[in-house]
Amino acid sequence: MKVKLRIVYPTGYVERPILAEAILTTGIKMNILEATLDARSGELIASLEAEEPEIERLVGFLRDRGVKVERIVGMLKVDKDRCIDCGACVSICPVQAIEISEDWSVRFDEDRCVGCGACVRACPMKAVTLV
Amino acid sequence: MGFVRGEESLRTYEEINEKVRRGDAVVMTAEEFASYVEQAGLEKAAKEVDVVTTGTFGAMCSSGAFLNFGHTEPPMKMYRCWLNDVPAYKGLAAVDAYIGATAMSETRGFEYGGGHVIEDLVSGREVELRAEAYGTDCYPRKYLETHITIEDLNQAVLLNPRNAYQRYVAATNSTDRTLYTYMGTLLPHYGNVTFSGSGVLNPLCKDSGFETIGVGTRIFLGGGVGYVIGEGTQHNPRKGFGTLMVKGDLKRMNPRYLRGASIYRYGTTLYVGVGIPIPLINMRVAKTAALRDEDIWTEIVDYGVPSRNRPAIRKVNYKELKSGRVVVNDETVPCSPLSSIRMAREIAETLKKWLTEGIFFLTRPVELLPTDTVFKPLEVKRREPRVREVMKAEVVTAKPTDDIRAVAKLLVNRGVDHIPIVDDKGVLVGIVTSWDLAKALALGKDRLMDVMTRRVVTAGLDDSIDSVVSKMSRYNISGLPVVDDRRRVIGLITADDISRRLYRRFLP
Ligand code: SF4
Ligand code: SF4
Repeated sequence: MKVKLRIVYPTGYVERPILAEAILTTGIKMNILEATLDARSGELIASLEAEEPEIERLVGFLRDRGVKVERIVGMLKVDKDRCIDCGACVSICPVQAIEISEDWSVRFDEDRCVGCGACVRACPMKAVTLV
Repeated sequence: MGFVRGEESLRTYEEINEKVRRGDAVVMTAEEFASYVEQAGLEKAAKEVDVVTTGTFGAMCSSGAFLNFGHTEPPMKMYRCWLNDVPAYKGLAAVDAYIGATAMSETRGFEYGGGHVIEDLVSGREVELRAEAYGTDCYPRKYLETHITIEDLNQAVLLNPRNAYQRYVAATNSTDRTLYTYMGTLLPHYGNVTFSGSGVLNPLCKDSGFETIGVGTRIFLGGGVGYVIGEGTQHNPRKGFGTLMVKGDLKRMNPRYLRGASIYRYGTTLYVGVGIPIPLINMRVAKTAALRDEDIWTEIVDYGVPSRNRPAIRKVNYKELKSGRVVVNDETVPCSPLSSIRMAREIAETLKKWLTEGIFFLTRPVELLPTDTVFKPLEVKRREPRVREVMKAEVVTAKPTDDIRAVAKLLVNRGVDHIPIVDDKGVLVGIVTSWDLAKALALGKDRLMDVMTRRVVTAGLDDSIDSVVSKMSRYNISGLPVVDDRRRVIGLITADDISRRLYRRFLP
């Protein structure tokens, strides 16, 4: 299954290679969607695909080392009845998670979405919500 | 070029309608027609195709609906009224109102507005009606609170003063902050480009000579049938920004094509679906109907400049805009539409279906739209007083040959400081002040012409007071004769007059 994790490093943890250790130990490949790091603390949003027990193991591994891990579940919700496929949300998405398809309908790639909320504000039909 | 606009040299409206009736009219959407022309050539395509259908679905702020509520018991002359807390215009008869798309809810603000009320009505939902009145002998009721649906209304007429822009500029943002505009969210440093309109499908682009679209043209409006009732406001055909005024029966429309919207930090509006059939009555119409996205141009404009005259960054065609990436200042940036091209296509398809099923007939316009109007800006004029409002029209004048002692007496008696000197025809030849006269008497001079100032600084009736004040200080004088265009004296304006005037303006 595919999940997204919000990984928050508390103060002083940034320089430790915790994520690299976690990837090496569990063998799970991660895709970093967004990272806000400074010298002392940081936040990452990563997407990954693995079986449930492996995900549990990864989350446990990180938590044991003092890193906060949160699962992001179904963050983006698009009400397809409200959506008119206008495209007002497309060019403002920082991670190109919204696309116009061949037939001009608008498609959201929920796996890429980092939940920034830009499309929620930009949608004139109030069709997008973050949950 | 001796051609008659609207001439039916390829086919007439009657011929097309006859084919529609029989079910064998050849109809193509504008997209289909443009590619058919590329493949078969204009000549052949124009001969075969009777009608080209168009469509657009975007935010159209100049939209709204006339509603008639019917009379309550006892009756009421509504003075103010609200629909779901959105104020409707009540400067009409007792129970007529106009709900405008951009009016906003007094309780929910940007979230809900007139556009949403119209969508709710068309969807058959209940809408709260609240009204106030001052009460008259014939309309005693003063307050009303009830619920209505569109069924309850006597009339519900969508009447939009400006819809279906021929084309619109594309937007970008040069500043270092995100802008929230009616052109959507514009990222800083030219981070994206947004555009409106459906290009190849855009109704007015497909008859840019205004040969078939005119007063009385039957159209697809909000999922129902509507009519063009004239040029839209700000109609600017010379610059390629034509617009339409349209109306239609709201009761027969479909909420799929009328959607209330809120543009973040801008306000509320209504997305309106408009589709117009273009009958190929002559080759000129066929030629514009065949225009492709790459033939339709607009400009990318910098919305970072808060002015009416925003600078254009470059020209761009709809093909590039629709590609999703546009080059701005040597950088490729993401680009997306604000109006729904998928819905525009659906509208053109629906109109095509109506025509091929024989349930929609074309009308010949009873009058064509103007092609030469221009769109004037509104200049903000500061109201400043003019000389004619401040000057004294009764002027004491004298002749150059008058005796100085007599004039000095006049000056004292009438309590004035300036005497313009005029010839027999009233033309200004000089001026004397009380100071000049005192000096002349002391020196024993006799005649005015020996002491008067000949080079006189004057003012005109419509000069601004600002300009008079600056002349006074520049020439160190305290009064100016006011003259007409033949230099005849018609008044006098003094520093006293101006300060009295200013007093009136600034003191309570
Ligand atoms: S919330 Fe919207 S704009 Fe932000 S990343 Fe997700 S899809 Fe893109
Ligand atoms: S802005 Fe809203 S209505 Fe437009 S395509 Fe995006 S989700 Fe759909």
